Amino acid sequence: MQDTTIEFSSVDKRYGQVRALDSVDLEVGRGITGLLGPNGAGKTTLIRIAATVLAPEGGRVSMLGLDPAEGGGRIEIRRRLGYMPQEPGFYRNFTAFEFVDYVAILKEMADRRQRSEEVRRVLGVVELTEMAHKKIKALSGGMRRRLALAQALIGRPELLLLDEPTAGLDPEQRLRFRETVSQLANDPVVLLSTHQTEDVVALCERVIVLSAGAVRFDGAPKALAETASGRVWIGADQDSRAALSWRMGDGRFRHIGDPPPGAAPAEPTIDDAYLLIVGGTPDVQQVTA
Amino acid sequence: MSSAQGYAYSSRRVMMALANFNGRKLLVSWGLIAAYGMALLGTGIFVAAGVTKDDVSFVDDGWTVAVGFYIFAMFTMVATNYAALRDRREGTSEQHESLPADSRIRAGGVVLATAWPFVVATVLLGVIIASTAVWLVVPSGVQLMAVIQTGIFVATLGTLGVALATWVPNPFVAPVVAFALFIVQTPEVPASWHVIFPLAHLGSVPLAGWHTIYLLGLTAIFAGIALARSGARRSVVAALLVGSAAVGVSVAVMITQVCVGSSCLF
Repeated sequence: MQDTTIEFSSVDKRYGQVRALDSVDLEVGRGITGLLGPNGAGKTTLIRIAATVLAPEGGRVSMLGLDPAEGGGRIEIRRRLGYMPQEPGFYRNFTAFEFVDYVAILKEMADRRQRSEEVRRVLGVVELTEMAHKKIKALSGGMRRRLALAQALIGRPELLLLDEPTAGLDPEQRLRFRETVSQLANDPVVLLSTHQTEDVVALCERVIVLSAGAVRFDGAPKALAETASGRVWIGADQDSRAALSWRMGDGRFRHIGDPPPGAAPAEPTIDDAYLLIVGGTPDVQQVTA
Repeated sequence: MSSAQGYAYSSRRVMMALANFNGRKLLVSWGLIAAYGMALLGTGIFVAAGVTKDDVSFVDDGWTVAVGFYIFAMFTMVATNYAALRDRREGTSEQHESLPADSRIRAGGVVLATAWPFVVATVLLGVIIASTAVWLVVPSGVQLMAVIQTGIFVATLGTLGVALATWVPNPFVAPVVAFALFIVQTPEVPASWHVIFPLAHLGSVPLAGWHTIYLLGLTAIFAGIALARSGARRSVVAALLVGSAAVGVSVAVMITQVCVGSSCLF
């Protein structure tokens, strides 16, 4: 496996007048990389281009050293990637086993016995073994998300693309999901799109913040938090100078923005930094750590 | 070519695996369950006639079996159409686009899956005809040909269901087409062009043979149309050319050989 698995060079994508990706340059390699951004930031567009289901309008994309614009390269990339879309679809009248089995065929696993073993393996990875023969329409939302992950894991992909995999999950399900992703045995390259900063902190070695179709930050989660250093303070009252402020559980206010003279700075979190970046504060844009 | 996971790639093997998967699902789909019911109903009426009448015949009483399997074929079309529209209905198109088996292979998997209801219909008809031959009445050669044609007609309408799903991806179209096929009646006055009716009963074994070729040609054309949307490959072009030739030649032969204006058609 090469170090750089996904390479985007000046990639553009528009939907009518809306520029979804604006000359995006990025490289993604080993480990779990988080793609963080608000709704409409371009995360799903970027993931869909990486999943070869969408073609960019400009720039160059290379996946696993192959060109997805070229037919043979595209098929080979598809053989080696797993994709969990933001809103996965299911054949509701199929059982969980049948659905994953069907996807395994589409992943070119023609041998029935080998396929059955693989389906059982991935259902085990997402802890759905006991639900394997239940119809999908009888599964809960959390189970369906795990099933969507299971179909993405078929064939032990080298590259795993997860588009907002924890959206709509309750806290326990999110923790289970994190556990599953972090324990993937064969260590694939994972690109995980989310707007949950907790997921990034919990799982990712690297985070890319996308906003308005452009990369605003690219570095380690700790480095992202540090970009807000000196710009977070806590006070007894709401402060109008803060870009953002909210009342915490202890009754004090947490402020983000340029602190007033003499304010006691607080330890910034990744949330603070993220809010500053996507809030558009100019001097923390285009940070590369 | 093989992957890092050690499994071999072959689009033909993948298509066959899909056909087996889809075929098994088709056989237990509500459409085929309804089809079994109609076939059993038609057969039951024939058997009941055999029990209550002394002079039972395929011509006077066996038509209920034919109608039952005619409806079987229509339900097969609705079922294959429903199966081919699955991705559109369930919103799985995008995630499947990211997989190596493309839309041509997926459509091919549904087209080939029509072999399953074809086999079931043919076996059922065979059992029925063999049983009634022992207990009620021995079928003629032409009637045996009609049995074969009825089985093929199931495959013909099965592939039509996939073709409709590919080109007119609307779940209401196949039931409307099925209903239209059901209500279309053979005109009272026989004419040579009536040979194009799917279950036209021709007077001789050779003519019935040509009609069988005609149905096979239609099946090949519908299969080609179903696959053509994903790009005209050699196999698709071949299916369309061979199917068109079979239909053209068989219709020409049948029209020139059947009697016009007499009762030889029906």
